[in-house]
Amino acid sequence: MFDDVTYLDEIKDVSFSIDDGKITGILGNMDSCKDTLIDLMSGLINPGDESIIYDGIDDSDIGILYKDADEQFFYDNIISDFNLILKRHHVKNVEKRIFDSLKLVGLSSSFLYRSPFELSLSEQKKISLALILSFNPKMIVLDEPFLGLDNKDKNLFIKLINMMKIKYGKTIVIVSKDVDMIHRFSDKVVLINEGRVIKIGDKYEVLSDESLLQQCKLKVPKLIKFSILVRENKKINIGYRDDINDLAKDIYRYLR
Amino acid sequence: MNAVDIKELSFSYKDVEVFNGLNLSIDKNSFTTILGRASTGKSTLFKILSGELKYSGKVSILNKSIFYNLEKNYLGLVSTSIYNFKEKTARKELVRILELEERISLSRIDMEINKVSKKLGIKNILDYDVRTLSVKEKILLMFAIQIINRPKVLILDNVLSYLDDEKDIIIKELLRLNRKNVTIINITNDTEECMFGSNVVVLDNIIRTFKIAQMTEEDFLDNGLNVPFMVSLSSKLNFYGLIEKKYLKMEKLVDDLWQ
Repeated sequence: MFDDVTYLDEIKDVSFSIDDGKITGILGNMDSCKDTLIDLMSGLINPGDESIIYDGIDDSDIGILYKDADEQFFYDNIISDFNLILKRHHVKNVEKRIFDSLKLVGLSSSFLYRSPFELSLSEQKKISLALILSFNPKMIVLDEPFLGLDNKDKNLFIKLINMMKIKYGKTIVIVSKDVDMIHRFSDKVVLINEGRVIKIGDKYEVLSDESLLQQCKLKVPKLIKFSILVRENKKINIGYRDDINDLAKDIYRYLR
Repeated sequence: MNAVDIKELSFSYKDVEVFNGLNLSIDKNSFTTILGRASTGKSTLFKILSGELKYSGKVSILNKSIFYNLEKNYLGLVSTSIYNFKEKTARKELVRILELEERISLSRIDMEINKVSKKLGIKNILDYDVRTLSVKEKILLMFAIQIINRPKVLILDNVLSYLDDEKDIIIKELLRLNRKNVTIINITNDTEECMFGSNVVVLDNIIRTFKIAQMTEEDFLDNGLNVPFMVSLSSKLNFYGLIEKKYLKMEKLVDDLWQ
């Protein structure tokens, strides 16, 4: 999707592609310029040449869940934000779309007349997600989707992300500095540092490279770290797991 | 004497009640992590403890008022909601803090600043205008100030999540301060952070206080909190009968499983 983008010296020669119907994780530390990358994707800033090519996707077909509410909301009542986004995407049957998307995130329609700026962080995130789901975009970009969510809301988001991928075949991009989250969801990982792509590949290939992650001020995900410790300290290869329940079950099988 | 004593604290924002008769005490010299689901009042509690909000009830720090402690520099705060830098650059800020100490020589000031900024990796930003620093750099500078200042009680307001690999260094420094009898209170959304501390307070309708060593997976789940990785893994392996106790260190767990 990105082809040699150069923007204000912040992002340098970033080239990578995002696979249809898969989850791509964009991983980078606090200073890695992930924010600029998201602005580029959303078309908020123009990279200067025609370097972002969306194959079969119009850039209005992209829904972005921003980290900050200030970027997500334009009005001080939520219904106006819904109307704006649905009008922009030429959606008919507006009321049903709003109702259905609020239902998905488990909020009542009484929220429609409240100001997004007086909601809690997790309510803001849920409304933001409902806004995106309401116009049924082909591609969904999630910027630090779990930041500030408690366990219950986190599980709801996990359920929704999996549903969007499996049931609706959406192309999903998750942008985060949280290695454990990127590990859990991604099929492919793009590792960026100081505005450059450092490595692209299968998630295990990228996320098990301890020294490379360290150079990027990141750590190996905990589930992968466990397998590495067993391999290095005990000379046993137990492979990698994506889920802590699977890891526990497999340790039991090995040791029984 | 407790580090923090809260009795019958009530506070509301306009018509939204946050606390209604909250009672809480935090042990002196402890490293206490304060957790809670969304909207349980974590950031409000920080604002109250930092003297920002008016409340009803009684809040004391080391048996004295919040303002007495702030005045004496006994209470240290690190938060993105307050950058109380008085000088133009990080270096001048650190010099000012050091000059508060009596009989400190100029060469000693230089040495101390060198030491702390090297430790925290902020040497290159010492002479920048503090207003131009990134959130992360401001947080590191606030930590540098507190390391020099060495308060009696240090309260962190959800700041560790802004750090990358500097987090390990900061935690090491916090543990070092804690060994020198600085009470550390870390208010956070990230339940993994309670693994560094000794005590855990969970804010909810009912306030509960735990020793981290005794906490189970259920203690987190019952309060709607994410379970820290090692607590979760230990409990699952315990279910399979592979281990008998909770492990906080991954290396130790691997060693004991494959001994």
